[in-house]
Amino acid sequence: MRFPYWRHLAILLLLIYPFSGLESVAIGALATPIGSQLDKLFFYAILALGLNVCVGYSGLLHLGIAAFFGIGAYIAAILTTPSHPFQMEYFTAVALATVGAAVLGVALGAPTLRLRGDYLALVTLGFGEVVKAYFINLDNITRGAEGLTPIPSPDYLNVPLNWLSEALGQGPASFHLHYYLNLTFLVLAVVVLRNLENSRLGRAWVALREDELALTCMGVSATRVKLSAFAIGCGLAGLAGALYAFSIGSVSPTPFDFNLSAITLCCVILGGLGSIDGVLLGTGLLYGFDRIVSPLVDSAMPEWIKQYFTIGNWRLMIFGLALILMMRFRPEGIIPSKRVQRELHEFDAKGGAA
Amino acid sequence: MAFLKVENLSMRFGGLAAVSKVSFAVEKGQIFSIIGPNGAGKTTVFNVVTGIYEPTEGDIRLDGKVEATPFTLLRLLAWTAVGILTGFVLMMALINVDRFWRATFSSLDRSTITFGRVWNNASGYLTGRLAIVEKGGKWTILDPTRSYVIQSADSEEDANSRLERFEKIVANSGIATIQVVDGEGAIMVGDESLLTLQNQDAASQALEEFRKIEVDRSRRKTFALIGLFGGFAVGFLGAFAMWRRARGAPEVIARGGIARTFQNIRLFHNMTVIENVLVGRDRFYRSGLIGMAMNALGITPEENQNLRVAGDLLRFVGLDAKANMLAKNLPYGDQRRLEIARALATEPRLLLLDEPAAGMNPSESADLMKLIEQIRSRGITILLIEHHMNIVMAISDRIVVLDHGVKIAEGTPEEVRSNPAVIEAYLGKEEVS
Repeated sequence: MRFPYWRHLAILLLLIYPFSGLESVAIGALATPIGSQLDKLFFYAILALGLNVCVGYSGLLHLGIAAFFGIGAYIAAILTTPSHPFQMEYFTAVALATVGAAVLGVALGAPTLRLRGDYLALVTLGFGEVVKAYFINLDNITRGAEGLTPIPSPDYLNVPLNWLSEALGQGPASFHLHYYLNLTFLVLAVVVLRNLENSRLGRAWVALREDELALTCMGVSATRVKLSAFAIGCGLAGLAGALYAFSIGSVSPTPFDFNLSAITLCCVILGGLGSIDGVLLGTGLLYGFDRIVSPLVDSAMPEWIKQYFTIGNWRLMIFGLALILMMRFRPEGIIPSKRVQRELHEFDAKGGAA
Repeated sequence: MAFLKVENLSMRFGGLAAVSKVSFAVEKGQIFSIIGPNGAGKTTVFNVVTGIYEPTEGDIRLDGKVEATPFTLLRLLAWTAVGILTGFVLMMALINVDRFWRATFSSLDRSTITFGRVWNNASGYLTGRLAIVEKGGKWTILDPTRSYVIQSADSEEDANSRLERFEKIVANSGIATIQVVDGEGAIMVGDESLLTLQNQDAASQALEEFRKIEVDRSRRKTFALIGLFGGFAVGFLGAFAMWRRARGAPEVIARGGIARTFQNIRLFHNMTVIENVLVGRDRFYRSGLIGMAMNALGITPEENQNLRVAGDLLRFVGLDAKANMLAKNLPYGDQRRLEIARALATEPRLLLLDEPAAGMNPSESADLMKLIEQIRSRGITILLIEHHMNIVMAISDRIVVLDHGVKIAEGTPEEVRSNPAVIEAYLGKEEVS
């Protein structure tokens, strides 16, 4: 009901993690430390939470979430990169990317209000492909296939925030800055979604998924509920995209394809549709496996096995297998969504609350 | 005056008439029943009254008023905004947004970007004006799309005078001619020589370029206008059509004070019992998005207030002990009662019950009858569809009988019971042998 204790524990662990000494364990041939992969995990988690608003709560099968991730990334990149004249500061760019993606989400949602299920999935899938084509072809805006680069390091009021990393004694090239910024945004997103989940809007989302007609007969406008789900879901995807742009330092069209949408959907389904904890865990498992576990295991494997088998090459196979097993044995996800239990007080009928 | 007045109501699906020319009037505080054999159009009447279908003919008045979203100035403004936005987007799509971006922003950097300059560049591209760009004491004249340099100049005056002459050539490119003077080619408009180049070929090539600019300019203007006004029309009319269509939508009717239950139970199955009722309370919440995002559970007075009302309603229908169960796990009779509680949560003036006793045993039906009486005593008028004749005859004040979409009888239970037309509809005609 309240913020469960293990979430506090998780946040605490993540806060001290960069100083634990584990963060610099190098992974495989790339020799990137684990810590620099974790900050990427955070924005993928925000992306999955955004998709969860559309698919998990509201039951709107959205297969184009990568497009909104890309839109957020490109807005943030255009607003900050030196080759464009705007060069805004970090927080403004992140906010505008979020709002821009939300507005486009509403613009996609408004004409498709009467579509449900498969048909909505087709439209969103098509939208994703169209947006990707735009990223490639709008040469002057997005610099086409080569993409926008470099995206400057986060700053506030034109003061680079690198001093944070330096103050932590890690040098300007460390991952600490993005790690903490992304973690902050993730915690913020989780808190806001947790509040929304138990507000009237969250209830209306779930009711929309359960029975749209019954919902409208209760005096709730399904139009508004759907559009708000699109706005918040796509807005979160845009936020994740902006964080992606800043963390990676460059933006190009290739990552924002259908694969990303599909994998994000896998995260949501694996963890548990409509459950925040589940989605976080699902993202942690899928991306954690992809980015951290498989390179670690691969680098530890003896050379003669590597000739025949590396987890890195077989990872899509392993994803597929995991999903099939999941659907067979636990279709509701690892942590299924649970409705909040409420206390009913004795009052009014017997005179005042007891 | 009647509380709910249904007049000449007809509902046709394609050629099939589900309901034709049904009229009845419900007085305040009555329990009014609609009965009839299967397929008589009873549920269709309910669906029309609650706005799920728009009636083919006839009208429905609650307290003398048709429930519909009113037209306001704010709505007009909203449609206009949607229209302008659509127009802008369509215009951008038609004028090649990529070249527009280059024309608008490529000559600027962070120190020179101002709203005036951006506006100047953007409108210059749209209207096809040639542009002057100054960089480090050098002036260059660019084509309207800012993709190539036409000429360079040494001073601002020089650049301006050249620009003026070029604009003149572009404007008159249809009638401009080439003349050869001393081996040099000159572009002439009338008697005025506007540009001199080293030979005739170069001059005619340049004139060709100016003609292209002119064609491009007029084409772009046309496209921009088509996009702007076409998009505006599409957006404005689309928003208007959406409003027109949703005028009498179920949510509007529900907010007007008509609530209903469904023949085949339509609860929110994966939500708890209390949450089902809270969804019904939705229209009494006032908090906006920010308020909800800040709303940690159980802190806001609004949420507590509505939770209290929902709890009372559950107590009223006898489900308070099961408040935290999922709706799908309730037994059948409890699901029916929960649906009634959910409908009551919207604080209706008129409650429509669609076969509430379907599938209930006699003792459950008796409980239900008591519940319906209690709801009436709260001042809520009830419109009931039911097949259990003992319930209908016992609690109804007035009954309407439908058969094949036509009203065949109306009156008090006694009158209806003895009406030969009703007996015929239910039991068939006695054959004379």
